[in-house]
Amino acid sequence: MNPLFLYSLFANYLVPLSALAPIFFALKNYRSLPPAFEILCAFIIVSSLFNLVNLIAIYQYHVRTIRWIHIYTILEFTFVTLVFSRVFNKKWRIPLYALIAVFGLICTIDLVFIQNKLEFNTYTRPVGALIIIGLCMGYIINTSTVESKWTDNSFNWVNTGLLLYYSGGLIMFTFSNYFLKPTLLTLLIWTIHNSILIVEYILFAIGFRKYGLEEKAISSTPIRNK
Amino acid sequence: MQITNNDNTAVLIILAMVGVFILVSAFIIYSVRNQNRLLRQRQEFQQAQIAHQKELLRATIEMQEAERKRIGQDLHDDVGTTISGLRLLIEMFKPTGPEDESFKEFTHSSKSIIDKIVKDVRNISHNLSPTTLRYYGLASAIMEHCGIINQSGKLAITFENEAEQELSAFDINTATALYRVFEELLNNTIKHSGASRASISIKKEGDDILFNYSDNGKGLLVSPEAFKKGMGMQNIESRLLNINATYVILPDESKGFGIEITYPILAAKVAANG
Repeated sequence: MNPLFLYSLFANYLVPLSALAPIFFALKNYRSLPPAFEILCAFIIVSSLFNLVNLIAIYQYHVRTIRWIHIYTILEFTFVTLVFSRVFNKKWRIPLYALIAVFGLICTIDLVFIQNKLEFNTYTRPVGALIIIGLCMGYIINTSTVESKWTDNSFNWVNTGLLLYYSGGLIMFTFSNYFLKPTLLTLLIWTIHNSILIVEYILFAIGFRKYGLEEKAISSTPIRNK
Repeated sequence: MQITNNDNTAVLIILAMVGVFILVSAFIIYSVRNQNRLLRQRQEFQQAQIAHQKELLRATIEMQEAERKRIGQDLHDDVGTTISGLRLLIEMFKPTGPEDESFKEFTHSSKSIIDKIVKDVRNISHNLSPTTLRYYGLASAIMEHCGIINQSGKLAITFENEAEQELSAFDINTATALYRVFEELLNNTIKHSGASRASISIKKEGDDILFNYSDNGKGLLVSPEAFKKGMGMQNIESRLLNINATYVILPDESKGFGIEITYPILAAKVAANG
């Protein structure tokens, strides 16, 4: 079978569809979701729509959408940082909002003045990924002494998904301008990236599902024990 | 000769991506295992604490039962037997007249038996709740108890008190707990140690009052850990725990047994203020 066809099937259908798993569990428990999970749910929906528009633009209108990733980087960073602003202590909110503003400004400068050709934003996206990795590590440090089973905390799954995706993808984000032309090895790199993305979505789905189970357990507890 | 680099960038990137993914996964697995291990250790510690509390409660209940049994036995053996004897004496006595010699003897015997009953009842009552402790405080009660033992010749006890003022401020619950602890320690010494001398010293050190007890007996024949599991020691521990006092069994450097009890004065003030 043609590897290009297989890749196309994987990248254009399977990976975008895998986003439906977390969306399904998120919408199932949407009414009881805390703000962090609501933002995460919005992020998955927005990024899926972005991906859909991107695919339509490429295959229907033959548009080269590489520069769109600059805009997506700002959106992605904003959503993920907002998620952590709701997870961390309230005192971190203002610094995180400031970080979003500064990062957005840097990304815009990069898009307009620095990496303004048909190329990936290899300066800003790795920086964004590094900051998100830092936020994930901060969360792990904060919760390392929490007296509960790791698997019982729904956000642990989400955090693991984010950490795996951004650390696994960091090197690809940095060197993505080296493989603008589609070769077999380039496709392999994108396949690895897409596989990590599927892992992230599965972990998000587990997180949303776990949250739903926690809620059910709480609501089935007699009121006097609450 | 020109140095050339034939490395394929894409292969290097793939290796780096997979490597980082594996490293991060390993880190996450390690942190999950670590957190679960911490949780397990805490749960084990809590379970051990609960087990210890249960053990203390069991010892307290057993001690109460033993005390009840002792009181019952004292009443039966001393008071009951003596009253039965008195009843028999009254029943057997057939006076011929008030000047009868045997009548005088009967009166004398009856009075002696009644005196004995009064003494027995007083002893039982004293054991249950020492009057001296209530009216004259802890130091006087310990001193009185030591005096009784010294008189019996079973043990020679020396008592030194350098914290008279602090001791007099103790509320009745604290004083009773500490009195019972010393009673238990002296009882252990008499019963098990084969000691000829014991000493009690009380002094103030900073914000604490230190109670030192030692004897010149056989010392600990088992490890301090095993010794602490004995019913007497558990009773002592539970009493001390109740008044926020702590204890240390002193190392067996010379012959004998020694214990140091630390009572924080602040706890006394809090207890006194209710």
